[in-house]
Amino acid sequence: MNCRDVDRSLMGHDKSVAAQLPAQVQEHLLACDRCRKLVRALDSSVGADEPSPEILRQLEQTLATESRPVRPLAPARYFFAAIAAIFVLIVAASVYRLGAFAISVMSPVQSITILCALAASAGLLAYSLVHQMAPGSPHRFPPKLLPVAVVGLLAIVMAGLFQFQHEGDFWSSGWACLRVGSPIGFVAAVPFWLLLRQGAILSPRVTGAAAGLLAGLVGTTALEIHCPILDASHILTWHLSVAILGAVIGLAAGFASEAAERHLRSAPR
Amino acid sequence: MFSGGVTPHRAPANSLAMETSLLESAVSQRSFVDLDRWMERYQQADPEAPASLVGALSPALLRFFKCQVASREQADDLLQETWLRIHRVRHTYRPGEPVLPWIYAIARRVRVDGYRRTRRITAHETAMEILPEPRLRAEPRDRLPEFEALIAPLPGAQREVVTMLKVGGLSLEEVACATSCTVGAVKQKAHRAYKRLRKLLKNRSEGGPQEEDNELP
Repeated sequence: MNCRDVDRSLMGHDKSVAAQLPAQVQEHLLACDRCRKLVRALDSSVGADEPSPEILRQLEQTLATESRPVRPLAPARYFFAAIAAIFVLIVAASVYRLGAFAISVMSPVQSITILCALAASAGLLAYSLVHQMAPGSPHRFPPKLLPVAVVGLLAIVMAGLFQFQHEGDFWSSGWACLRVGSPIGFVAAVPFWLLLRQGAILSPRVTGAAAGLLAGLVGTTALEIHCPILDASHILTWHLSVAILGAVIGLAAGFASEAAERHLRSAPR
Repeated sequence: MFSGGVTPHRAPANSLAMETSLLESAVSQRSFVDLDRWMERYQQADPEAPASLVGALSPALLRFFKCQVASREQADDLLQETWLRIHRVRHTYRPGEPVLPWIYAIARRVRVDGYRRTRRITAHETAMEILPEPRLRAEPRDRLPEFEALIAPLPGAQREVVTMLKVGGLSLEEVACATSCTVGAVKQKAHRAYKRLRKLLKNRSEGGPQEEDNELP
């Protein structure tokens, strides 16, 4: 038993810790002055301030008078399925309209790997988004880091899968891809936003960036199936930039939403 | 009706303590179930539900805010703001899921917004005159500081985790849910907080310098 074990034990106990600690920890406390002081200090009274009865009464009255029955949010799996369906439908419609020229020029390994990577990225983002809709939901990946991790991983997969070749019309062909992919992302963003607004978005910036990236990935996926240029620099610069552009616009929308909410709250009633 | 503290308890080693713990565990388990049930009734617009929830959760929420922000007035404001926001988004609570992470995730967000608002206001304020520093009350060295004073020197994220564990009575998993972190990250923050607290307490008892790096939020 060492001080780290005491820490572990303290994390499992909340109020009046000393009385509930296991015997081994109690033994360690007899020998270790630092741990004993820590346990005693954590056991010391937490400020005995109680909320003012007047405030509580006001709150209770406000909540009771404005109370109307509400329907609880649907389970996360329904939202996940809806996001997946929107993703697949928009990609399918885009590919139907544009043509799947890339599939015929890519090797099976390239096709399967890039599509799996895009599907996995979209799945992770959708999972994170449906959990961001309900406060206090568990997150396997920190929502703040996920968009950065997804872009980084996709960049690695794309760079590893395709070769860097000299391309004569880098700018013109790239601009054409950006012009095709971005509107697809914008189209996808609308139903995603309609779904997400049913939940409680506590951090509009984080949710905006993730939702924008997911919408952008719809465009990137459509481009990966449509565009026959297999140059890694083209794919990394122009196809991935559709997703990054979506994330940036989503982030900006989140900032704007926070600013608007602040403005509304500070406006005189 | 609820007791103020709704805390999970774990089994201790000796039998007497175990019996007490089992009893407390049963009580707190009932409180958890009650909270879930009251939350469902709140969603169904039961007129008794708001009073029960506000009465049961407000003391811990106020202490949570008091441990994070400086003044009582700010803590009161944040408490009210939290309940108004809880009311607005009450449909996002899914029946059967734990209530405390849901509540504390909202409270945490309200605190961050409140901190940003305060920072913005203070950035525009101009000091007209320098007020004399309030004299710190000298506490005897052998006396332990109050919990709020004890955790005040910790960085914001560590203070938040320790407060949720100790004041809110949340488990590690619940803190992870409330803070959108992994359980591993919460454990690491708690470990670092305890390590730092040990050092602070040692410095205090030896009359050494007290750390004052008070990061916010």
